[in-house]
Amino acid sequence: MIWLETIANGILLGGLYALIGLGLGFAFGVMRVVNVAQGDFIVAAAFIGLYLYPWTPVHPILVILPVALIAFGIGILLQRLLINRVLGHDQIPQILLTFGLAIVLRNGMVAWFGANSQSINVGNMRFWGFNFLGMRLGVLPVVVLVIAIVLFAALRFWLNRSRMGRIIRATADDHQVVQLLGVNYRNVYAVAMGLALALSAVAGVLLAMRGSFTPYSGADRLLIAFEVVVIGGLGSFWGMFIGGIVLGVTQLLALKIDPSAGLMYGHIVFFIILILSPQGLSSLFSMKVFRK
Amino acid sequence: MNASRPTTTRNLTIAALGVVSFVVLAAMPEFAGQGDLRLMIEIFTVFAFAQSWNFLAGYVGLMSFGQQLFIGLGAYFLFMTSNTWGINPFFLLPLVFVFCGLFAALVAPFVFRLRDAYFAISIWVIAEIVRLFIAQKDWLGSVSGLPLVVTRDMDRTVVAVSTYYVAAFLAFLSVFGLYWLSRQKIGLALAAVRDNEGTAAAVGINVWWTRFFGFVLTGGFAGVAGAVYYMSVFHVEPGGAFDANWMVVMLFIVIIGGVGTVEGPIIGTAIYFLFRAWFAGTGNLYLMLLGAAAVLTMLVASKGLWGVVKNTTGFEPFATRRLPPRQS
Repeated sequence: MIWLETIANGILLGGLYALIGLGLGFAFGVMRVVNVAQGDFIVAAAFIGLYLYPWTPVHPILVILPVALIAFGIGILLQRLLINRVLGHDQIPQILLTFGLAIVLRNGMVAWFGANSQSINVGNMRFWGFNFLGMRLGVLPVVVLVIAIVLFAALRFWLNRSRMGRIIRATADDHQVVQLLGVNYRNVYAVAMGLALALSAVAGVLLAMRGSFTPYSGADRLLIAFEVVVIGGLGSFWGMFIGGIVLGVTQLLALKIDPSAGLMYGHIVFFIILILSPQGLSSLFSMKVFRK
Repeated sequence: MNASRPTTTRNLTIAALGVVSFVVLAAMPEFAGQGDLRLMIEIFTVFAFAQSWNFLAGYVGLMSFGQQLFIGLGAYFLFMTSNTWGINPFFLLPLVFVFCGLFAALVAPFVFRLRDAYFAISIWVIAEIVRLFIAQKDWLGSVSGLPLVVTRDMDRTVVAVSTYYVAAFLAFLSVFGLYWLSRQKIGLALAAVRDNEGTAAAVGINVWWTRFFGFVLTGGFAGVAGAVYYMSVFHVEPGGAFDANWMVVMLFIVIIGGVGTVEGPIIGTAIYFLFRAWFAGTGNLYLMLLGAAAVLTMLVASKGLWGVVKNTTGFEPFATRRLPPRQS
């Protein structure tokens, strides 16, 4: 039973991991840009959440809304002021630019907030739990998983049905051709980066509610995001979701067996999947959004 | 052959430069004190790290965020073998090259399935796996690391001077060896693969094996440089050897100087050590400055400082292109 409970908790954590990967995967799917600073933006969002939640009405968990809005704005600025300037056939300038940005962000946060471990306090909700099929599960992790599923579904629906969603998909397919139809792909990219950061920001705040974070957590977050995207098969939506769950379950099972392992077994599972199935798990589920 | 004249003069220049730097490097311990020697070992090994990354990114066209993997692996392999069998670590350096090269060869088939940033981060993941693995195993010294036992009983000056010579040799190799290599058949093949895979394949270059060669070579080289670096500090621990901040340093040096040039990282290394001397006390501000400088370079001059120098003066001693005959 204890194992089943661990697996269930792993699935709950995995939903959140999937959300961490979603921002990175979305940005990659649309722009072929890999934002290496994603992990540090996630941590920055957690800090913003930490300062905003005392002023949030109704319930602290609603702090994800203002943080997501701020992150959306930052994403648009980031793309317009920096990344759009180095776009091109060669990916190396973008990657190096965001890597430099990650260093600045991380060390800036250490300088401002100190290197202490922090956490966003959601009050009593942290201790609430319920019994389900004989397992004891926390309310907060379930709420987090539900938020993750809703965001995945909403993004997918929005991309498929809305006008902007269609424009984004068209830009992802061929950013040259959409210009013939009167679309400025740089603006589309800015919106896409805003969305990517907003999604990551929600993940960052939720992660800060479930556990703790330091300014140095960014690197681990980035690795998780990246593993989720690769396991899911670059650009596949539900593949990413499953990738997150695989990682979440692996990590909790590993911590049960070997408490000092940290993320090691997650990394190893990622590597095994990479060896067995280079296209990621999505070769099993062909529900790709961006590529045919 | 019309084009041969400028090439010959350039070869002479390079040869002269090579001889001069060889003599200067070799004579250095006569004039330098112990402290200077230690600093120079550090400068040379860090320069070698940077060149190994520069080679991978700028010549092979593979960007990696996990070069610290080979630094740590080389250091740990050297410390473990030397401590276990009591062998003089200097004799083990060729083995370090083989070990790190083999490790690179083993992971290459898997990481080569990923491209660009995903390739870059997958190596970082491997570095993390190795770091976490070492940190857990007591026989590898776990979190607190390993000391280098064998050199303790040796004459300190001899050890320092020998380490200096090895480090200087690595620095020499990463300038003149890199230049030599880039003009060989394999070096030209690497450049072709980096610039355009499809065209390279069309002229009969085996893209996969060429990349593989570059990756294994740089892995082995970075491993030796890492081993030498940690030999000079006599102690290695997983947090330091596999630290992602090594990547920050390498990136800074190469980006500021200019990716894909022999000369760029020389300037980059000089600027890095000056920066460090000025801002070392400021902690995070110093790292922030390194990051900001990299961002700025990417925005303003993506070819780095050396690119600016090259474009404005036309001065390019380590050029791999053949110059057209000069028009009078």
